[in-house]
Amino acid sequence: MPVVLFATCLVDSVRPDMTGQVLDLLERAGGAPVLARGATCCGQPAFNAGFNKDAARVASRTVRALDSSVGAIVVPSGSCATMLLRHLPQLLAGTRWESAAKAVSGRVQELSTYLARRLPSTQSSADEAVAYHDSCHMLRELGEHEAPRALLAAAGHAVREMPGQDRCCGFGGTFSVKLPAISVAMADEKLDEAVATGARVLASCDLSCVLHLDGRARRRGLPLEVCHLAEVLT
Amino acid sequence: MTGPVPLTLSRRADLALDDPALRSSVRNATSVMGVGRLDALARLENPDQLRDAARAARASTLADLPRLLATWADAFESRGGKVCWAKDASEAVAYVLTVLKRHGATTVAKGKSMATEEIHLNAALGAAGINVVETDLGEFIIQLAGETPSHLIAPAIHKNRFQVADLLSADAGFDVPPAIDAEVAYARARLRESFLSADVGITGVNFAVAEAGAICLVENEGNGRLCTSLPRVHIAVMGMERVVADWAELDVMLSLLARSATGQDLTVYTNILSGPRQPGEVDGPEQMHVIVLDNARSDILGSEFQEALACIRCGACLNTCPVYRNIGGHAYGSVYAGPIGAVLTPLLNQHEPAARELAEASSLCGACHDVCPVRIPLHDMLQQLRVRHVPQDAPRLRRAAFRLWSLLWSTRGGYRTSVWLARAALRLPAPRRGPGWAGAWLSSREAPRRKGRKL
Amino acid sequence: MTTRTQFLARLHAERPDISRTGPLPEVRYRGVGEADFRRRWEALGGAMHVCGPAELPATIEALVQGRGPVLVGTDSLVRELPGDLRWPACGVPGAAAAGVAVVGAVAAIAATASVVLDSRVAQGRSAALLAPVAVFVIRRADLLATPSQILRHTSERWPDGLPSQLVFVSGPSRSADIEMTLTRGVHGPGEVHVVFLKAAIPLG
Repeated sequence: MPVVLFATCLVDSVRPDMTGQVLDLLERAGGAPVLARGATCCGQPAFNAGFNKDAARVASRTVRALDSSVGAIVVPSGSCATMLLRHLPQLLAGTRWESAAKAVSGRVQELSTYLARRLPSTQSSADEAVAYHDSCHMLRELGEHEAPRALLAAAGHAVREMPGQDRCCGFGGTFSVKLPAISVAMADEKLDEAVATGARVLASCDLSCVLHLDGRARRRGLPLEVCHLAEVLT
Repeated sequence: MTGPVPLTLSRRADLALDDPALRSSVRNATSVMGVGRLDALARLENPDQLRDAARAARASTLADLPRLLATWADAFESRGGKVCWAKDASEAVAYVLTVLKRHGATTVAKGKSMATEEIHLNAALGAAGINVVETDLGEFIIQLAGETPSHLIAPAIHKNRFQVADLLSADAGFDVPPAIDAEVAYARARLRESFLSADVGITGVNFAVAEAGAICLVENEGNGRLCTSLPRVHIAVMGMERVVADWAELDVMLSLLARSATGQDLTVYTNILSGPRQPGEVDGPEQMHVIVLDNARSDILGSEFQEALACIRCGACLNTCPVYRNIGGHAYGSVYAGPIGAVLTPLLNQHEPAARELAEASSLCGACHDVCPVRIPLHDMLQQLRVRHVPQDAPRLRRAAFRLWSLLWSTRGGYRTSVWLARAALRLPAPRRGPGWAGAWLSSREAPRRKGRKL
Repeated sequence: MTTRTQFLARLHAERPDISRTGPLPEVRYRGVGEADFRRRWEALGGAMHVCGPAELPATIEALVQGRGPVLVGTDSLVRELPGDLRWPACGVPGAAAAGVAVVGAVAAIAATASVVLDSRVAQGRSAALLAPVAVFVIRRADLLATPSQILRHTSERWPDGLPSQLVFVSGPSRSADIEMTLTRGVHGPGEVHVVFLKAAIPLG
């Protein structure tokens, strides 16, 4: 079964190594993954800020590129997956990309959803306690609560739950820089809860959440590594 | 708020974030109400079915609003009720003042009503020399403080018992101890006099039942009942969208309202008022007036935001919102706070930049939509409001930047170049300061690092 | 001033994507029997008693002893009981002076632990509002399962039109406005009792 990986713009720009890590995971899961050619960004940063036209301009390119691929489209981001699944069909409605957007949305799966049924367990000797942050789109739009936890457990990690596990980390796209004080207050509550579980790793399926929380954790000097799920499973 | 209110959301938020007592109070209160909501919904067998039905019912009612308002008014007037059709705040206030004057009224006992806050009724009455006593405990407290409510349901959640004791002691002229029972006992005795002597009672309205020509008012303390039983005149102010089509819709809304707000099955008093006193009744108002308020709601009706009028003012969205949790209600600088406030305030005040700015007070996490009993997609509306506001409010530079970004990223070469530049920049030593948005990030967070966990 | 016609002429609604297509679903509560009423009413801080008509005077006497002036309402279930103040004759000043009010209620509701007051039957609104203690006497047969049995059947219950006020009283007056700490008896009665009257056993 062919699998196409849409790496996302954040991975491309900030964590290029993650692309290779995800491709490895997809191979271990039994697929023959290829990288989507010409798929750049889902348009979400502009969309969240209210710049629909600009978002559509970029997203339509990505949609066109993905539509010319075959197989399941795997996205290592809950928010980008949601953008492709839910928002682009509406955003591109009435344009010539309308049917491509609909077709693409039917093929998209977020990474952990895809892996959960396919990745064999690996009892790692280096198991550790991992706190998990349910990023907002993962939880509320995709309804994916179980797969990341199952994958962490299958890899031998103990998942530590936080009391506010379903509360937003405060990134929110341009919110993080337009209202930084509130954004950081939200991050602090999340990070304090993660530290309080005793875990030294906090994982999430959204690199945007990861960079925001990691940036704050390091500024505060907290004993916590914040990573993407793919980085923990690798 | 007391004193001059800072003009930007960001400044008001900063004030709140620097107030640990406020943050602790808000965090505690919203958590308690949030847990209450979950427990209360679990006491129903079909809560999701009811929420779906509630959404559909509200949508149908709003689509039929003019006819339902007419039906309601006919039935209410047939029992002696009087209706004022107020297109804006000034008409509503003028009507209240006229009624007060006609009855020679000098004292008003007032129940909690966000609609009356919206039209700034208390200030107008005060200016006309009318003595207005807020009788809801939380509203009474903030009236003494000279503040506005900071939450839809619990107006004084930002105050702790010590602050309350100070306010009550100043009012009393003697020391009221910072013990909640003593504070309540003082308020009860103090406000009892107002109820017994008030000429007019003014309340809000939770729902108006069109087929019955009645209004429904819900409360926990009993002050609503007192305001509508003892004074000679009752005036109720309602947003026009509070109409429900029939008794069944009221039944469904009541099954969800208190549950979603505080975790109660019903509030202590659910009042259904169909008109002034009837022959054989020895109390109750001789006259009952309902002011139906438009005040820009007709702009929302018929727009893509029409569903925002479905709100039943339960406050569940405030209780779940992580932004509200951190900054409290006053930081919104508006009558309506939290997610519903961030949506309604721009819509009701389209010409005010400070009102429009509230659409930014969200990370678009969607928790509000998750808890809304009538399933208003508040998170989607916030994004749509941002789209609407860009032409007026987005700085030229930002619009140019997004346009440039989109042109660049819709070409392969442009995207690749950007990515290459970004990766190169990340190899540089991480700065701790920067201009504009970069500075906003770096002021409290390290720059993103290229390598994730150390393998 | 804006007229009704002018006001309504400004309202133009959109057709929504979703709409109500027929009767609304029933509200299904978990637990709608007498035991559920008791459990909920007591959890709210209320007290519940059950007695036959012959024991009613003694039951009430035990509740009102030492509580101050007793106001008795106008409902047929209570009007024969002894009292210091009689509604409606005593009026609002009397109601305000009472230490305990004993009134009838037209129904009770198990799902929400509510007592239903009808201002036409009670001849007013404030008989049991001002005293710190309220006792509601209700026929056990008038215990209903859910609010829907009142709300969705108003035209049957009140064929000649609604009373000016109906109230569902669900426990003692309360507030959590200060530090989310629950207190009772803010404005309305802080102590509430329900007395369910069993049906009289016919003799012979």
